[in-house]
This record gives sequence, structure tokens and C-alpha cells, in this order.
Amino acid sequence: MKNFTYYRPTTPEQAVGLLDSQWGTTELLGGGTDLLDLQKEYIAQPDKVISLGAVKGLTGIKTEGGRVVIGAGTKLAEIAEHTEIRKAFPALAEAAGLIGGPQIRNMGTLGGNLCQRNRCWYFRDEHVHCLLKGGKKCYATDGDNRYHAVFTQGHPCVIVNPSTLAPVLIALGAVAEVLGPKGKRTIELAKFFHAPSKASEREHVLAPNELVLAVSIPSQGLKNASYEVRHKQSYDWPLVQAAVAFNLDGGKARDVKVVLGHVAPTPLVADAAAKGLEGQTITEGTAVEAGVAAARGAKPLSHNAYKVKLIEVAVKRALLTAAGQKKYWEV
Amino acid sequence: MATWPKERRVLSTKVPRLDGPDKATGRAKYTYDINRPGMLHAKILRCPHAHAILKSLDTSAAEKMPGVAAIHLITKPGTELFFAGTEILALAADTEEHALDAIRAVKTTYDVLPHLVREEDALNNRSANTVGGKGNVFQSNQDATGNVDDAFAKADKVVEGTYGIPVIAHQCLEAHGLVAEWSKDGDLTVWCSTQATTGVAGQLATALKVPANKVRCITHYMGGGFGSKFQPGVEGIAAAELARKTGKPVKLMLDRDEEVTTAGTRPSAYGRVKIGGTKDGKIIAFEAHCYGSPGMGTSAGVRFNELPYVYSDAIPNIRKDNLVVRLNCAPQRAWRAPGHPQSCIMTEWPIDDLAAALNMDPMQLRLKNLPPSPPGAGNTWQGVREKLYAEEIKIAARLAEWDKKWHPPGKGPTKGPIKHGIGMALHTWGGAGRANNDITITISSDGSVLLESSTQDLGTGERTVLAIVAAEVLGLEPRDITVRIGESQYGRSTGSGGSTTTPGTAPAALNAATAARDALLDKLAPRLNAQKENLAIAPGKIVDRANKKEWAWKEACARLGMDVIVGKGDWTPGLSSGGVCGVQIAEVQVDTETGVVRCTRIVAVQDCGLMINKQGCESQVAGGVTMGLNPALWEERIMDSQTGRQLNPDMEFYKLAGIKDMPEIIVHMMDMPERGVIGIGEPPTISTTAAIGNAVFNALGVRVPYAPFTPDRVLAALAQKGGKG
Amino acid sequence: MHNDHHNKNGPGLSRRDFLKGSGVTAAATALGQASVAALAEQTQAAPAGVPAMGPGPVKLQLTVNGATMTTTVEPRVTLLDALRNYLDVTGCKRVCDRGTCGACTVLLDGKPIYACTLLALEAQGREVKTAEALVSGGKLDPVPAAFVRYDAQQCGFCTPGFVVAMRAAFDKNPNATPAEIEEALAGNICRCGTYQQMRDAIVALCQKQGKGG
Repeated sequence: MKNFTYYRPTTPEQAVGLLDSQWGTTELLGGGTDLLDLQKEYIAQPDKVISLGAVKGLTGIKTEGGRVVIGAGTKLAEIAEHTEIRKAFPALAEAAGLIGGPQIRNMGTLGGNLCQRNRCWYFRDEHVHCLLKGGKKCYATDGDNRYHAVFTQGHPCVIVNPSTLAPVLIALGAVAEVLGPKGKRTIELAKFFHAPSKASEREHVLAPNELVLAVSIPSQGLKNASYEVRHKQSYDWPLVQAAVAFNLDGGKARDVKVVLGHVAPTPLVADAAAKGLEGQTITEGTAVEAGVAAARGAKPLSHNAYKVKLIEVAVKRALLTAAGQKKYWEV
Repeated sequence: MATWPKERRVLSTKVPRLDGPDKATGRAKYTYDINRPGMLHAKILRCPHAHAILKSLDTSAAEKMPGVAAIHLITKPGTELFFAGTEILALAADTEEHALDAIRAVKTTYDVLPHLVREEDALNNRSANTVGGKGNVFQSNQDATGNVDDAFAKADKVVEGTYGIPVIAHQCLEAHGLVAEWSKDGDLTVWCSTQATTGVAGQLATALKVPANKVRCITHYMGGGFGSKFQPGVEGIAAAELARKTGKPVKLMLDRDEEVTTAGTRPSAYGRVKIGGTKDGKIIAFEAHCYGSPGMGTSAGVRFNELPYVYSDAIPNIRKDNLVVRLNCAPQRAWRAPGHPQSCIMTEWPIDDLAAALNMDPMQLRLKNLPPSPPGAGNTWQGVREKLYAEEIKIAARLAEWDKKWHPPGKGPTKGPIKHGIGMALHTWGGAGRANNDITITISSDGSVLLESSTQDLGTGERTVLAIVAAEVLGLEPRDITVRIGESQYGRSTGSGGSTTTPGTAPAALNAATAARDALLDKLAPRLNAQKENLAIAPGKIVDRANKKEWAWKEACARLGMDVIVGKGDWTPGLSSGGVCGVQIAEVQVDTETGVVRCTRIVAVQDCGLMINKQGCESQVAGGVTMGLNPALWEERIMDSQTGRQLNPDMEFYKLAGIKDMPEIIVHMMDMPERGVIGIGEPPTISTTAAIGNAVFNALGVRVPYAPFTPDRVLAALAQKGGKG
Repeated sequence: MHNDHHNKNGPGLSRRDFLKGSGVTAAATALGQASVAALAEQTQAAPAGVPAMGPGPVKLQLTVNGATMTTTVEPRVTLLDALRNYLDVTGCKRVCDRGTCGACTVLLDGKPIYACTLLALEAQGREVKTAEALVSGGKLDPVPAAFVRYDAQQCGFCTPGFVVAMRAAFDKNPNATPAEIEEALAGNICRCGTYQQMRDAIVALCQKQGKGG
């Protein structure tokens, strides 16, 4: 790890004031579970690390004005275990509770989860000069891309966004509150993510000197669920994730949102799947159709065709879970 | 001449390991934990390319970096390097952080050469040579017995399939490395994470050109070796050189990526296997064309001479050959039962495919083809195997409820998308004891007993093994024995390989304890006014059988006064033997929508002759099963053809089971004291992967040919089955 | 508990000697907590009036197993490396060093975390507890005692991490079920394969009156 100067501001404004306006020289330190890894791999080599540990007002979960507001510094464990979140947003609690192990959840924060860097094994190897590190080529495109995107959307870098909270928050219509040098702004989570393709870009749309303060979720009584297809049941990343949310209006689904994780460089909103469900009863039949619709158009790479099938299954299972139906896959 | 007692008081019982409390509370000091006054930290600069010539090396900037104390060159410019991770130099600095900074300040240039790091790449580029010597691909073995073509023609059913398992890494949790410290007199002490304290001491003496008696190796605790830790390694020699150069203690432990990429892998094994049998269930022909990669090593894959594995003497017509596929990866090292898990797969998977073709229960097919026991073979493996396999299969089948749970492949109970499967496999291993294991037992007048041996504990509970044997002979409890192991000055000991440690050292401990007991009774007889032949050891005391007198152990030992009793022993024949059987049955649940396989239960039936510590035996079996489960479902080294680098030199995408991934493991130990002590470290890991593969086949009705059985492979196999209708 | 009496570094070398040799002192103070202000003396001027530390070595004060320990580290030093390399607290092991395997698990204010992915500076003012705290005067805490009793350890290199994670799970919920305890161990990996014996220990602890306490 390259050495750095450590700052410990106490207000968000101080923290933002310490950030440079370009990527690479300064980094915000939340839980550290991603940043320290990146530094040890020399992928991140900041001169200044700005700890958020003492910044006031970044943590906690509260309800205000029909919204649940979660401070960006709130630990994943708190989100997973929060009574109200478990009741209103089981998808969020479930996704948070499946991240890493308890140690990660006691350290990692909501803001860190949204802003973490991708897990592409070429990107994470210092000795591979890939597109995202200023190189000329995406090695995953021609290499071992078993964990990479199946919806590359024409992007030259075929990473998947690793956040499993992001698809859920997008499905729930959440909004991020962000502080920059010119003050606060809000960003819909649906517009928060970005498919990077060069060293000067990140997986999100924040400016280098912006800080996520909180994420707020409208309390709309949506049925919601997240389903992850996981290779391992202990500490592992999902192979594919589906998050769904909808209103049940006389047994019919309305305002349906289907969002996929780990299939594209950003969380992927599956509009076709959602449209097909509008006004429908959630049954195994309609859930299957939605899954097929969500997977339609996928262009798998050389090693990840299996993910297309997993999208179908994950969407189906997430929908049935949200609709409160029997989990037929659990024995 | 000592013999094992007929009545076992402590032997074969469950004894908690003596060093358990120290380990469980972090007080046990491993090599990684050794901190010495003024100690320097060393790091290694490695070649990042899979194949390259080191063109230039400039250390001038590194030398001026803060805290740098010394640099030790390992590779000269102009040298051709054959795998990513080859050591260029090592340097020592005051802190680990400074050492890493300085490593990065070394300037190198390379001529990068073409590499081949995946088996299929090498097989598709037969004209290339990226590894020197005999080239990337060559035939290592070829053999045939009987008339294979005739037998296949006569067979009622012949099946042919491809099977395989990739390279896996040892992933020792304590990385390789050592702490080296020279005295002013030129004596070298190293704390080394090794499976061979005396071996490492000797190798260091040779490498450093100092007399053997000036090197001491200490391994009080070590965090896993599995076959990869018999040498000091390039890193160990570098640490010792840096310590000599600086006059300060130097610590050099590998980081995880170094550990995974350079410090030990098991060769892959792939094969096309054809197997033929008759309607009544006799396997009459077996043909295998195999290949495997040892990285830059020279031998690989299956254990060729023993293919078709435990059935070698049962199947009359065999033809086989093996290719070695050398790749630009670090050389393989011995991995818990070298070659056996691969041979087991290459035999046991085709057998289940044949059973399916014959519409037979695969357990019945195995029972009809067990290796015969020739007359006169006595208590050897050959002598016992036919009956022992049959008995172990019976026990395993009962514990696994085979009769109730087995069903024809793909025809089992289905709950939604979840399909149940059950499968079995057999294995064998040697595990014979060997000489050159010195053990010294000292009894003092306060009744304390000290046992010394230079042997090492890999996690098997070796301290406890030795204490149990001494306690049994001396009428004491294991905790009454102070055991000092893992220091090379305690005499000779053999490396812990081949499951030989317990069968090598337990007889030595028996001999030493018996000698100590006899010497003690000799010395005490006149002082207790007893005839020596009337004195005997009883639990906690010494008794005079003729005069019906007895003395508590301490009371009797107090009569030693200024004397101490020393008993020495080495391994002698007759107290141990070699050759075990073993049967495992695995159950799985396969989610046919996601392709996710969950292993729910494994029954392992294992013999190892005379058990010393039943608890230790059961732990070894459960551990072996776990190390066979990992490569069945998750574990593989993933190399990148483009960069020649490993994509998962970590513990994130190099996937190993956590507790939630674990099946229930049921261990049944066979109690066979008449065979003497036999090693148990390796056998129980051999057949697990094979049994799980057969369980997956039984669940799906289609073979998933390559481990690990990842969702993509399972879905691909199901799709292929569907395509065939 | 420094466990000085238990040092196995070799003849005649106590932990104190090592620390002295490394230019480090272990001082116990009554304060028990290092405030950021206390470190201001070695900081430099910084933008926005925020004190800066480093990049050179700065004073570090940690509360480890109830004792106050001080040393000097660069800001980049992790809690794990500070404990192991600077303070000779070696029960927490370095294995993956990337927040995956759990061998470095320590309790921070009672919660299990990976010491390898926390800067040592971030642990100041908080209670750090390692496996070494789970024995007192030769008496084992029930969790490590169950590991011993059921042989839930082989090479033992992962064990202190598992023990700490399991201790935390019982502290959080003394009535936890075996499944809940397994959930709490999902961030730890054992290579030797001691899970079956660990399960035996878990079942015994869950059945016990007082539940692992």
C-alpha cells in the first residue's frame, strides 16, 4: 500500500473540502472493506485518505415525510437487522444480510456499497493494464469472463456492478442525497450508476469531490424481494441477482420494477419484464414469462452464457417471493 | 521387544488435543507469529510474466529507500524465467511497509516470451515449446495388460466418457516462510513453517554452506502444509541470507497471492476413459488416455501405475497412457495423497457410468469387482482388502441408508427443481511407518515425564499422539506427559509426508516408553525392596504383584533421588503396517434451474489399523472429506491465457467452503488393532470428490464431466441431456 | 492480559524485549482512550482546518484486551499489522489480508470485524479484543473450551478467528440457534476442514444453560 496522509474531518463539508476535483489523488474512507483492498493491490494509490469515521450526521435510519432515510455511513449490519426495514423493504434487508459475512457487514457502509469498485479480476490485478486503468484493451472480453456482463450494452469494459443494494434501491425508487463543493443535490438511484470505460471514470456518476450523505426510500407499501443465485452459501458474490418491487392492487401487480444485478456494467432495469407484468396476477406462469423477458436480448460473452438462464430463474423467484408465494425451490 | 498392549486404557480413546487451549486462544506461536528483537521484514520481487528473460535489474533506487537493510539477488539478468512469480530478489527493511516500498523501487526490464498456461492451449499448440527441456507436451507413460480389444468386443456394455479435475492450490492458511536468526558464533536458528524440521535444517545447511550441526529448525506450530512444505524454499534461503548479511533476525512470510501462485499446487488430471462389462456385472476392460499438468514440474496427473485404481487387480484387460502437459506455472508439489484423488475419479466415475448402462446398482457393481485377496497375503492390504472393502461398503451403505435412498440415475425423488442424488467411491493408501524417528523419554524424581522428538505437528495432533502412547505404557494420563516436538536438535525425524508420521513415531514412542518403564522398574526394584519381575505399572501407580504392595507414581519416582530415567526409541518393524481401504458415500441436492449443487451428507468409513487417538482419527477423516468436497464444488486455479497470470490468487474467487456450505459428515472408524498403526492423513480425502461426482450423476442422470460442479457446468450438462431428448 | 508469562519466542525473550528491540513501548495508562486531539501535536497544517496525520509515522494508542498500548505507525498500517508487527499481539492471523477469510477477526467495541481491512488509526478510542482475551488465569471461555473439547481445530491457524466470531455471536444472542451461529461464521474459512467438529461444539454450546456464556 502506498503511504498517504490521513485526515479525520468531523463535518461533511470538511470532508468534501479535502477532496480533489479529479480521481486518484484523494479517497474517502468509509468502512474500508473495498478501499484498503484496492490500495493493497495498488489499484488505488491516493495521497490523501479522508476518513468518514468522525463525520457527524452520516449514520442512522429514520423515517421522515413518508420516506425512510438511511445515512450513507450506516453499517450494512444495521440495515440488515433494522426492524422497520425488514418489514417495509425485506428486499433491502435480505440483500444487506447476504453481503460478505458478519465482519464485512459490521464494517461496510451503505455509501461504500454503492460506490465500491467492480471485482473484475483483470481490473484488480496491478500487472494487467486494462481499459479501466488506462490501457487499450478489456481483457475480460477475450478472456475468462465467467463472472462478467451478459448485457454489455455496447460498453467496451464488461464488468458487472458489484453492489447488491443498488438493484433493490432502484426498484424501490430510492434517491441519494449528495454533497459537493457547490452544495447538496439529489440523484435518483436509477441514474446513479455509470458504465466506466476509462481510468477517469467510476462505476457511478458522482464527481470526485462529492460525498453521498444519505439514501431515502419512499414508503409506498410496495411488495418487494431480492433473489441471488449464489454458488456458495457462505461469503460469496451472487452470480446473478434480481430485485423486484410492485404494488398489489386487487391481486394485480402495478408499478412493477424489475432490476438485475451482476449482469451488466450497471444495475440493469428490465423494463420489458416489468411491462409484461403490469396488471397481471403474479403466478408461476407470469413470473416465468417475466424472467424470460428480462433475459431477452442478453448477449453473453464466451464464458457466461449460463447467466442468461440464471436471470430467468432469479426474476421468477424474486417475483414469487415478493408476492408471498411458496418458495418452491426450498426443500 | 515392545508390543502394543492387548488391553487399551488410553489408546484408541478420544483424547482432546493437549495444545488445544493454546491454539484456540491465539497463544500458540506459529512461525508467522515470531517476533525477534531488532527483526527485519523481507519481501520478494517477482517476475510478473509467465515466460520472459530478465533483461536488466537496477536496485540503486531501492537501496536508498527508507529502512532498507540489505538486498539478496536471486536471479541474474539474462536468465529465462518460466512462470509468473519467479523470484528475482529479496530485500530486508526495518518494517514490512518499507520493504514493500523498496521492492517497488527496483527497476527491471524483461524480454517477454510466449507462454502457455492452460492445458487446452498447450494441447492445441503441440509445436510450441514455452517451457524448455522436453517441451510442453510429452507422453510419460504407456502400458497394457490382457487383450483389451477382444474384451471390449465381448463386453455386453461399453461406455466411454471424458472426465477431469483442474489444478488446485494448497492454500495453506499459514503461508510458507521463515524467521532466520544467526548468533555471533555463526549458529543459525530458523522458525520455519514446515512439515520437516530436520529436513529443512539440513537443506539450509547445504544451501548456506555451514555445518549441519550449526542449523536449528523450530516448528512448534504450523498452519497447514498438505504436502507443500518440505523445503525451506527460495524464500527461506533468501531470509537466511539476508539475516546473515545484516546480522539481524529476518522474517519472510509469503503474502497470499505469492502463496497461491508459487508455493504449491496439485496437478490437474483429464482423461478419456472407456470401460466395458458383462450383464452379470464383471468389469472386463478399461482403457484410459489421460493428461495432466504439473506446471513447470515434470510428472503429473493420475497415479499411472495404479490405474484403474483399487480395481487394478480385478479388471483383467487394461490399456492406458498419460501425457504430461507442462505449463508456465510454478511446479506442482505433493498434495495430500498425490495422484490418488485423480486416479479415483478416472476410475470411479466410469464405473458408475457403466453401472447405469448395465442397469445395475453401482454398489453392487463394485461388490462384484473388488480386488481379490491372494492367499498367504496375511494382514497386508492385499490380504485384507477383499473382505475389508465388502465390510466397509456394508457399513457405509447402512449409515447412508443406501438401500432406501439409491435410485437409478435421474429417477430419484424430485421436489420442485431440486433433484436428489447419492453416489459412492472407494480408495486406498499406504501410510506405513518408517525408521529414523528418535524419541527420548525422561522420567524425573518428581514423577514428571518429558517426551522429546523433532517431529512436527501439521494439525494432526501429533503431540497428543505421542503423549497417549507414553501415557498408556507408563500408567499415566496424556496430560501428565510434557511433549516437546518441532525442534531439529531433538534427534532424527522423517518429514510428515505419505501419512507416515503417526505410524513412524507412535512405535518409536512405544519403544522409548517401554525402555523408560523397564529402566525405571530396574532402578526402583531394590529401592522398593521388590523383585524386578514382580513390579508392574498400573494406572497411576507401580505395584509389586508378589507382595501386594503399591506405590503411587510420584511416590515411587521420588525414590529415584538424583537419578533420572532416560528411555530412547526408534520405529521398529511389527508395530505398524501399511495399506488401508476406505469407502465414502455422498448425497447431493441439485437445483436444476440454477445448477447449484449442495452436498448434504457424506458418510466416510475408514480403517487405519490401530487407532492411537480416536478423536484425532475422526478429525482427520472429516478434514480429508472437506478437502475432497472443495474441489468437487468450488475450488479451482483459474489461469488466463492472455496474460499468463492466475486470475484468482486469493480466497475470494478461489472458492473454499464456509461452514454454511458443509454437508453433515458421518465418520465411522474401523478398529483393527491387530494391523498395528497405519497413517490416516491422506486416505480420507481421496474418494470424496469421486463420490460427489457420482451423486451428481445419480441426481441428474447425466454426467457432469469436469469438477468443480459449478452452476454453468451443471446447466450445460442438463442442456446437453435435454438436447439428446 | 499481556500473557507475558506465555511467551514462546524463545529462551529469555519476553514480549517486552521484542517491543524494546523494535523501538516500541507498551505503556498502560489510566486514560484508556486515545483521542484524536492527543495526536494533534504530530500533525501538520491541513486544509479546512482538519488535522492531518502522516504520511510519516504517527503515534498510535490502542486499547487491546483491556490494556492500553502505544506505538508509532504510518497511517497505512492496518489494525492487524499494528497488532501483530508492532504490538506482538499475534492471536489474530494474517491469511488472505483482503477481508475474505476471517483469520484476523477481532472484536471492535464488541462486534466482529476484519482487522486486515481497518486502518489502525481508525481503531483508536475503541475497544479491541482478540482471542487472547478468552482465557483468564488458565480458565478458558466456554467458546474456546468447546473448540478444545470437540476438537474443532487442526492446524489451528483459522481457529482464533472462528473463536472470536463465535464468541461475538453468542454475546449478541445468548439464545442463538445452531443455524444462527453458523450464519455468524459465514465470514470465516477453515482449510483443514474442522467444520463438522465445530458443529459439534456449536450444538453443545447452544444446549448449554447460559448458552455459551
